[in-house]
Amino acid sequence: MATPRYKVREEEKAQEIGETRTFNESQVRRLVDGASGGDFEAFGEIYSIYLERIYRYVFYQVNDKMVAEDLTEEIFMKAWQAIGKYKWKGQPFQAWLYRIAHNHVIDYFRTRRQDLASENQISAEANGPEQEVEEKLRRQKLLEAVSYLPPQQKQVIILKFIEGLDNPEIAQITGKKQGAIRVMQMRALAALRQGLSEEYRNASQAI
Amino acid sequence: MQAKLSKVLDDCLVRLSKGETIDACLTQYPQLRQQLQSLLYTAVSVSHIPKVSPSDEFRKASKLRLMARLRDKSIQARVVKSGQATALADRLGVAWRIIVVAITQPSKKVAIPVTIALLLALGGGLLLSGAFRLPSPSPALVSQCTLSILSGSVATQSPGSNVWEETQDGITLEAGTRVKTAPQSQALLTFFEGTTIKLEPNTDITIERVEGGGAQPTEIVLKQWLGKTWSRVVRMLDPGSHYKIETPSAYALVRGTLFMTEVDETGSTTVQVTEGLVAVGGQNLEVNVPAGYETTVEAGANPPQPTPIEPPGQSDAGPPGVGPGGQGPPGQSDAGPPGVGPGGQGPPGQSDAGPPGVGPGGQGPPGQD
Repeated sequence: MATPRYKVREEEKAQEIGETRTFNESQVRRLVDGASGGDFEAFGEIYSIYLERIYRYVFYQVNDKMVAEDLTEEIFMKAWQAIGKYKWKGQPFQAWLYRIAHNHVIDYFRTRRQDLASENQISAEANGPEQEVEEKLRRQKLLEAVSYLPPQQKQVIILKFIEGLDNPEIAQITGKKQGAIRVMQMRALAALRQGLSEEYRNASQAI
Repeated sequence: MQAKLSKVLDDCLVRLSKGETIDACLTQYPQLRQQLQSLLYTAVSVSHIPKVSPSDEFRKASKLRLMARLRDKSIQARVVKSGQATALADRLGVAWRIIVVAITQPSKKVAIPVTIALLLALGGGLLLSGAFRLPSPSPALVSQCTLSILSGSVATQSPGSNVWEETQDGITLEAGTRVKTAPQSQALLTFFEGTTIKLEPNTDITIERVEGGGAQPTEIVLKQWLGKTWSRVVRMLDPGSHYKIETPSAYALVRGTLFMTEVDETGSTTVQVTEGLVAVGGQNLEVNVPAGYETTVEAGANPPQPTPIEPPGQSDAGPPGVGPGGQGPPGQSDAGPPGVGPGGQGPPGQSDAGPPGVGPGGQGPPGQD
């Protein structure tokens, strides 16, 4: 059996999705300071840097392309309105932005009370060759299983395994202690494993 | 036990992320092997979930919308400040009259008001010197929109001209300009407050009217002669604001929604609503089309009762921000059944103040400002 290697390096993900620009913290800081002072262009740069991550974070929660697009735009509008109050107090800007995103998604679900699972959006992403269809269906089921997790567990799974953040970063975003993050992570994985049961086992051996 | 397992699991995940194998990790924790193994394989599976990415079209369109909205909000904020400055000027006028009274009718009773008035005059003067430097919204800016060429080529006809000229990406267009996309070409118009309209290939529209900005109601009126467009309208809070697309056979009026308009060579117009509510009018009848519904108005006729949109996959294009192969309209909204006829019988409180059947309280995408 092939031994899978688990890699969630941010750089690797950036390559996967075609993000070529990288910004260090001091550059982001300059942009945030500019945006706090009302500089649209600086905020536009911030938008370009974080659009991909925030969109993805939202998409995996709502499972709907158009809703994800709308919410992403609204999240950045909220961020613009609040950026003047942002303080550099040890919390990375990214964590602050994810927090706005998380709250906005929660608000969305509160308002809409929608079923988290959407059956047709992910299949729109699956435009690959026929031989990949089965694998994509399996991933789709996995993503559906993720969408059924309780909100906090889902958040941890998305941030950790899709966004590739580490526990301290996730703790900053969620406001939880790292011990709590570890427990949520374990429970979420256990729930996913149970939900996928046989299907999961067969598929994971094929990775 | 649970805490221990969660810690061991986390340790293994960190090690896997550094390139170690699952087997190596399991070997180190033989007593937890059974539980760990399935959890680690699940983690690997989750980390292989395909990474979705916003389409290039959405990136471009949404950034344009965002920047437009930021500028508009900034102008609105300045207008409010300007208003505050005007109120201050009024107070200074009162103060000045007090001073005049104090000078002409000196008495102890006005000594304190005079002091306050002088302080107000001094402080207010300083404030006003800053406030009056604030730019007012420029009518020239709000009466324009920005053209983005998403693909192919686009021609424009300036107001009062009959000549079509190939145009360039990023230029601003004023009211009265006609825009035409070539075959295999797509364009996006972004208005001052963030509303966008995407023009599909072979589409011909005229920007009839673009007004608003700051505290003024927004009014955007377009004439669509031919082709297909997708409009993403920023929610308009002012009851006097509206976004309207007129076609040779119908019109669509909205105040914050996402909808598609298609005009064929016979002048027949199809309006599909993805979000919100659109009032579609024909000769003398208007129907409210809620999300998930569509109606087709033949030239010279009235719009028939809306029907559910065909299932996704049968349309050849998506809304703005959704790339090729993107989703068609999502499922039906929780809006009530479509209303028909003058006086509108659609969902209550979702109509506009303009034409019959459309009253205040339009519906927009959730949470939009």
